[in-house]
Amino acid sequence: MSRDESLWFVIAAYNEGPIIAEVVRGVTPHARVVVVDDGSSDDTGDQALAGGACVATHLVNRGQGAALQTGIDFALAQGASHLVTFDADGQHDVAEALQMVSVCRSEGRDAVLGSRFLGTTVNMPALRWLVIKAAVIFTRLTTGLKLTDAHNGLRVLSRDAARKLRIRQDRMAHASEILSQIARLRLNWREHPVTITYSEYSLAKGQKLSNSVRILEDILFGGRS
Amino acid sequence: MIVSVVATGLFGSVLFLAAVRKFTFLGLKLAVMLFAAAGVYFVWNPDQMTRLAQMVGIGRGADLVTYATTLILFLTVVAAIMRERRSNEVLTQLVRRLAIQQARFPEGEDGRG
Repeated sequence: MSRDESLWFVIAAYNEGPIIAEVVRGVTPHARVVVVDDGSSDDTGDQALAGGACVATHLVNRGQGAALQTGIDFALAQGASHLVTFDADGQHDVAEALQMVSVCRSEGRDAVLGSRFLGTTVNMPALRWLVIKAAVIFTRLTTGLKLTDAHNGLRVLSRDAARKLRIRQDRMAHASEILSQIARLRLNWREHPVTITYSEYSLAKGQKLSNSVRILEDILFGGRS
Repeated sequence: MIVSVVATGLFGSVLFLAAVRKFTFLGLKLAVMLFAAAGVYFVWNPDQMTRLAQMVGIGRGADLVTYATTLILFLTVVAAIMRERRSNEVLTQLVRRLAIQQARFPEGEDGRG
């Protein structure tokens, strides 16, 4: 199986040194990778480079949304035909991401969005389920998109879609922002079932309930404040 | 009554402008200076303050001062938030540009592969 040089995985990483090389090595046999080291204080950048990724370094932490946009800009400049946004903490499955890419290509979609509720979740805490379901309802009300999942970091974008999207929400509200832009730009999208593995590592790093208040604030009042 | 309407109107329009991201308060510094100058004047002529307050339908001069202070403080805070937001956007663009220009490539790869 040869590597697809036009397929880019975009990974935003903040202090993911212990795991990032392993995550990158899972992808590099299949596609190219850009890791945006979002001002980490550990060796995330060096580890990602050692794993075989291109590394773009934010000199100061700007948040996951800002880092994803940087990675998207980089991959587009390198001539990417399709882009995958992928989490740095190893909770996504590379094989499923590649399936999503082939679905995106064969059906000529602009975007394929991962949904953990069409797929399976491993060790998902009940409280997180509740928060994400609330976000799904919020997304339906504000964008009209009939999604089954929100804030899922696994997405496939065509080059065209990636060029049209512009993430201005530097922090976590970018997930909602991407969806509202998909709705506004009338992109041709579909969901695809994915497995999210809630490991001890990803749970410790992941979203806390208190963050959802901040996300709501960012959506209402825009950007950092 | 008049003051309530004016204050509510101002508050509403500031919130609206903030929501559509168009809020720029160019005259804010000027307004603060005028307010300070007015303050000095009224400290020396407190009865004038009360007369002014009664003209716009407020009982005491001190109440008028409280309302005006609250309003200016509010406008200042909103303007500061907006300014910070803009400078954050600029900072992100700067950090992004640098990150892309100075990107590191793994062994055997280089730009535009």
